[in-house]
Amino acid sequence: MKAAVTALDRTPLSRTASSLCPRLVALLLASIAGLGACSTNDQAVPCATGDCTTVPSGDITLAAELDLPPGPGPHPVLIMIHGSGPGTRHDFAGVVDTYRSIGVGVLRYDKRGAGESTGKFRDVTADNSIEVFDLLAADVLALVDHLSAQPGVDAARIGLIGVSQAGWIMTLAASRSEGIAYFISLSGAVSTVGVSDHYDKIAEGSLSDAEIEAALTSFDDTHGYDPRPDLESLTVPALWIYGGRDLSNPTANDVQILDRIRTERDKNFTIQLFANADHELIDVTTGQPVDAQRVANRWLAEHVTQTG
Amino acid sequence: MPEQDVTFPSGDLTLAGTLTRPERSLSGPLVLLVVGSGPIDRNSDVKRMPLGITRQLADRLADNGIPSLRFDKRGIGASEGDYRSAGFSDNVTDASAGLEFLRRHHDIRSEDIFVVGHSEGALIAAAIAASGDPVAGVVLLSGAARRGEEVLRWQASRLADMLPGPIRSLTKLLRIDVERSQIKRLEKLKASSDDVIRMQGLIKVNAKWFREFMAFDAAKALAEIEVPVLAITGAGDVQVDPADVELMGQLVQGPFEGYVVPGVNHILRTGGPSPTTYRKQVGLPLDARTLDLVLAWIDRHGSEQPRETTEDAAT
Repeated sequence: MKAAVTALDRTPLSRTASSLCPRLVALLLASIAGLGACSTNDQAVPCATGDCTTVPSGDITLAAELDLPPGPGPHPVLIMIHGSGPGTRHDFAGVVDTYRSIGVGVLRYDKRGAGESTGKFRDVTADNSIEVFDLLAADVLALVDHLSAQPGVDAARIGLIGVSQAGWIMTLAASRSEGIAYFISLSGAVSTVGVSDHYDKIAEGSLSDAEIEAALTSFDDTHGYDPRPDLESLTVPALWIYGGRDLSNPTANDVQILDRIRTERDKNFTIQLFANADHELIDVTTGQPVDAQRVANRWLAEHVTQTG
Repeated sequence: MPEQDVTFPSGDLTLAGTLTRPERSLSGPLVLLVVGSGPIDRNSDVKRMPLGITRQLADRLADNGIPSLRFDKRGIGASEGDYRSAGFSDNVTDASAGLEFLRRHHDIRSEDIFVVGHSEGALIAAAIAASGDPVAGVVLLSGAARRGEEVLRWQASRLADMLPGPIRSLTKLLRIDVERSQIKRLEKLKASSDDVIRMQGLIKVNAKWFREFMAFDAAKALAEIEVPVLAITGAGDVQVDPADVELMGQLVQGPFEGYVVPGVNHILRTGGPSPTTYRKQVGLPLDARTLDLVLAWIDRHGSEQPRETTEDAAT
């Protein structure tokens, strides 16, 4: 048990974290009951609940599964964007009904090189981040194109939701496509990859807030993808949910970036901070998940489901 | 060391626990360990936060030849029942059932049983001793000496104060009042009437526990305790006020020893007082000074009691 926690804690957002994403998303955006442990690539349950398909993206193909709410539609659809690990669509099995019940469809896919998607999974470093994020964002855009042509899907209300590393990917994808109408970021990264790695490394090794504060004040790493220009060019509404006691992602830095861009560029950003929550949006004192789902549902009602 | 899985009844429920017995016979002092709040098991572990407090206590006690019983809360681990609908009073009932089990099934004399509780467990230990349920003494680790509601309000204020500096700045930037939103939450719980309620529509909360915990007055209970009491709180505790240790000493009727251990936090680890780092600190052993104090105190107070060991009987 201790090993699992350690492994989770030490995972930089940019690098591999097979355990991070499923647990994070499962806890955040699924009803918690009935969820198993992290589902991984070995779960050979092709097409569990929805319609399965493959979507070409450049020279690879992505395996994807679409679950729409009941009724003829057209329905808004959220694409589940992965965190840093080699995640598969099964990681999000627990959230499908959560969204269907509020009238939102869910498109899940296997990350390139994971599950039944072809291509190569690559660990992200500050050095390769621009190149790898480019591919990961292109995959999202391919899915958006595919989705917008599906019957029952409202092409004007396709959005993204994702955790951690997905903050970068969603920003990049949404800045490149008008097909993405909104997105929801959970503990999502918006600092440079270099800053995120730097913070992660120091915060994870610290046993006190003082050490972590010291880590926060020594930010000067400009290596890797810097989402700021892309954030500045965004035109869509976005919800950003953060934990104030995140040891993987520099929440303070990220929120300052977002708040500045929101103010200076008049962006439709909603920022929600759970001061006492960690990267997984678990309250660090009680060990219980904070109610990020309520925030997400309310935001979706205001921006997506009741406006279409 | 030999550990034995045991079960015992508490009302209609069967609770499960671990009896650690360093020797074949159970003689001399024995400890009932009571865990703190939250859905934690006999070891004080929850999936994402294996605190291990009662497990480490049991191990250390066993190393010193002292047997102990620790058990899963109702609805947790191998114990029957429903965790979310359990109140503070149910937790007291279950701990009392543990005492009864030790007395009946293992012929342990009440004057040999110490109750050692951590956090909520300390309040449970105090409630048991105050009720007149005969025990040799109680050890209150990270306990409180005031009404539960006051404890939770104090926590809310500390929570806001203890946020890392950059995050405190953020709360100002985003105009978030951490303390006020916690207090609002408590007031909603206080005004509720069901055992379990959904807070803000989605997350189920053990409302009965909150109401009973808020209403429980530790000061009143402490004032009724006649058996020896040891109280230890870390100076860096941000969940209960370390100053309560002194209050406890003024309140109890019997012999009292109290310690505020420098550099120790609520989960009895050395390190930063902030809960940010709890998850990392759970990998550390409990503070050695705290463990030593518990052991030495039980040793002193246990030996004051006349023992009926086989040897004694033979002489």
